[in-house]
Amino acid sequence: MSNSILSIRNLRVSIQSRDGSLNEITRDVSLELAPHEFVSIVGPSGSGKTTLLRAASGLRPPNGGTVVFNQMPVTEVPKGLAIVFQEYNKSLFPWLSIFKNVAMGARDCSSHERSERVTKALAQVGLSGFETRYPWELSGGMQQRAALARAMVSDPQILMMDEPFASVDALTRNHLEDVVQKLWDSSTFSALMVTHDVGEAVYLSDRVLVLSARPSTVLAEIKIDLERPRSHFETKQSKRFVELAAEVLEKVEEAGRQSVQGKELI
Amino acid sequence: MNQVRFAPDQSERPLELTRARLTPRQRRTVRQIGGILVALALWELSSATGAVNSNALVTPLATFGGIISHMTALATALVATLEAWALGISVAVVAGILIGTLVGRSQIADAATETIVRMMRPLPSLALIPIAILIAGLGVRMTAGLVSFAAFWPVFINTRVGVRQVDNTVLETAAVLGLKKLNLLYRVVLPSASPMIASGIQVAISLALVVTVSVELVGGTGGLGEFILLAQQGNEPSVMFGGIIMGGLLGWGISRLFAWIIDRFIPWRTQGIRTNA
Amino acid sequence: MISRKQNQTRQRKLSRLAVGWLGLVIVAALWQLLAVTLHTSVFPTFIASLVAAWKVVTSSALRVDIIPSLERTAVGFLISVIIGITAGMIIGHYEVVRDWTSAVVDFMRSLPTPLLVPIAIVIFGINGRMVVATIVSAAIWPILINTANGTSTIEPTMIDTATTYGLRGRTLFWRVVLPAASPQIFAGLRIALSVSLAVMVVAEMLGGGSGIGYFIANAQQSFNIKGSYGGVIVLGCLGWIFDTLFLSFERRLLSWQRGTLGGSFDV
Repeated sequence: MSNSILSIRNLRVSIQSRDGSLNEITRDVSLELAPHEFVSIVGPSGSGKTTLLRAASGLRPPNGGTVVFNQMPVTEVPKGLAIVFQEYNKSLFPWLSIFKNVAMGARDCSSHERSERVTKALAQVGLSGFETRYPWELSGGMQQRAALARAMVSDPQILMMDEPFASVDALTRNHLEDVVQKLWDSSTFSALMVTHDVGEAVYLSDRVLVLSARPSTVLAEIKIDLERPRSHFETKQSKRFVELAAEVLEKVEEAGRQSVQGKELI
Repeated sequence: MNQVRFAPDQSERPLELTRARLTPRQRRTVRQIGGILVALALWELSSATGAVNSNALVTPLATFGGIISHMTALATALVATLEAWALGISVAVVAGILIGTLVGRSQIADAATETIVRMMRPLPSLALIPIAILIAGLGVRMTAGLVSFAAFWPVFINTRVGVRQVDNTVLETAAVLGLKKLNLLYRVVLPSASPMIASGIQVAISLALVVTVSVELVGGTGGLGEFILLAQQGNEPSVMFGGIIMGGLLGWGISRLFAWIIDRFIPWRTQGIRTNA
Repeated sequence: MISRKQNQTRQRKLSRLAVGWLGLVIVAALWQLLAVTLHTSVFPTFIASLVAAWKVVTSSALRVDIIPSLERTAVGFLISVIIGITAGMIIGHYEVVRDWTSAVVDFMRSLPTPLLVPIAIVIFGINGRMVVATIVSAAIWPILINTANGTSTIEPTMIDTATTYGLRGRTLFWRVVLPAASPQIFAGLRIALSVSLAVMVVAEMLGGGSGIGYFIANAQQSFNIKGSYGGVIVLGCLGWIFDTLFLSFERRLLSWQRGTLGGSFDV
C-alpha cells in the first residue's frame, strides 16, 4: 500500500441536479495505482467515469472517501498530476500557438528550460515544426497529440486521461494509442485512463477495472498479462487478447443490463 | 481554502440544504426580486437624501403617484406608441423576410447588396427623423414609415445570412426527398434560417421602439415620447419618471413576449446560438 | 495547384466586390432619377446631396458640430466600455451577483434610452455632458451583457485544464477567462459603438446645443433641406468609417479566432 502512488478509498460522488436534489453518481470506488502502472476504468455510458476522474484528480471534492497522492491527501489538483481531456478542441486554448499551449505545462521552469522541454515533448508526439501554428489549424488527432505533449512537459508522476481518443476516427485512434504507449514505455509515470472502449483499455493497460451502472461500484478487476511492447498487428490478433477483451466486455454488458433492469430507466 | 474554487452547485453543502429547501430556479427568482427591491431602495435613498438634484430625481413612491394621477393620459400615450410601433415593425418584418430570402437565394443579388448593407448598417436611422418629417409630415404614417425603415435592416440582413448559410447536407437531403422550389423554400430553407431570422427580429423590435419614441420626442407626434417631453416642460418630474418607467415596462414586456414566442415556436433555436457563441 | 486555387478565390472575391459597388451605383442612379422626375424641394438629387455633404465637411460646421459630436461619442463610448466590461465581468463571474442584478439589468436594457434625454436635460442642462450621459446610459448595456455572458459561459473543460496546470485566481482570469470571453465582448463593443452614434444624434437633436444631430435638425427647421441631407450623408460615412476601423482592429486583436467576420445583426 505504501508503495502505491495514488490511492482512492471508498470514493463517493454526488451531483446536485436541477431540482436541487442530490444525485449519487459514484457510490463506492477504491483503487490503488502502483508506480509505472497503467490502469483503465471501463464502464457503461452514464456510469460517472468522468465525474470519478474529476474527483480523483482534485478538480472537485468527493462527497465521501479519500484520495491520497504521494502520501498526501488530495484537496486540489496536485503537482505532478497531468490530465488529458476528451475534448481537445476545448482544452487547448485557441488564442495560443501550439508552442505556448504546450509550454503551459511547464509554467514554473526558466524560459530556457521551458523551451527545451517543449521542443522535446513536441518531438516525442511527432509535432515538430508545428510550434507556431494555432490549434484550429491542426487536425483532431494532432490537437490531441499537442494536449499529450502539454501533459508530458509537466513531467508528471501520474497521467490521467478522460476518454482521450473518443473524438477521433479509428485509424487516428490506433495511432494515438501507440503514441501514448510509447510515451509510457519511455518514461516512468503511472497512467489512469477512463474509457468506454474495451479494446483500447485492454490494449494499453496492466489492469482494467469495470464499473457498475450508476451509482457505480467496482464490478470486476481484470489483470492484463499481455506482453509488452504491444502492437496493433500482433497483440490485437493474439488469442489471449481476444479472451481478455471478451471477459471485460462480458462484465461491461453485465453492468449495462443492470442499469436497464434497475430503476434507472428514467 | 482551496475549496472556494470548486463549483458550489456540485458539492454537498449541508448548510445550504438546511437553510432553505429551494430549487436553484426558485433561489434565482427570490434573488431577482431581492435585486429589484434593493434597486428601488437605492433609488429611494438617493433621491430622499438629495444626493442628486431633487428637482430632477424623484422617489419611487412619487413616481408611482405620478403614474396613478395621469393614468388615462399615460394609457392613451402608450396605445399611440404601441400602434406606431406595431405598424412599423410588421411592415419591416414582412419586407425584411421577403426581400432577404430573395436576395439570399441569388448569388448576384447577394453580392450586389453587400456594399449597401455595409453602409446602411452603421447609419443611425434616427438621423433621418428630420428628413422623414420633411417628406411625410408629422403623423402616425411618418413614424411608422421611419420605424419600418430602421427595423427593416436587421431583419433583412439576418434573413439573408440565414438563408445563405443553410447547411448543404440539409439541402441535399431535401433534394433526395424530392422537394422543389417553393416547397423547398417553405419547408426547408426558412425553417433552417429561422433561428437567425428570429434574432434579427429580436434586434428589430427593440430598435423599432427606440425609433418610435425618438420620433415622438423630436417631432412631438404624440405617444410616450411626447408625454414625457410635455411633463418635462411642465416641470412635473414625477410624471416624467412615471412615463419613463412605463416605457421601460413596455420595452421589457415586448421583448419578454417575443422571447416566449421564440421558445414556443422555434425550440431548435438554442442550438444555433450555441454554435454562434 | 495551390496558387491557382488561391487565384480563383481571389478573382471571385474581386468580382463579388465589383458587383457590390455596382449595387451601390444602381441605388444612387435610382435616387438621382427619382429626384429628377419628382422634382420636389424635399427630395434633392443624389449629386446635390453629395455636394451638400462636401459643403458641410468644408464649412465651419466641421469645427462647431462634427468634432464635438465625435468627442462626445468617443468619451461616452469609452466610459461605457470601462464600466460595462468591469461590471460585466463581476456579474459574469459571480453567480450570486448575476442572480441579484439580472432583473434590473433586463429592465434597464429594454428601456428605450431616448426617453431619458428629457431627464438628462434637467440634470445636466443643454450641453455636451448631457449627450455623453445619454450615450453611456444606452451603450453600457450591450457591453455589460455580452461581457457577462462571455465570462459566465466559458467551457468547463477550459477551466479544468487551466486549473490542472496551476492557473489560479488572477492569473486564471487574465490568461484564460478574459481571452476566452473576448470574441463575445467584441461583439458587444461593436453593437455599443453603433448605439453610441444613434443616441448621440437623438440627444443632440433634442438638446445638444451643437453637434451633427443638432445640425441636421436645425437645417431642416431653417429649410436648408440640402444641408439636412448632407448632414445625414456625413454621419453615414462617419458610422461606416467607425465600423470599418473597429472591425480591422478586432480582426488584428482576435486573429486567432476564425470567422470573426460577423455578417449578422446578432446580439
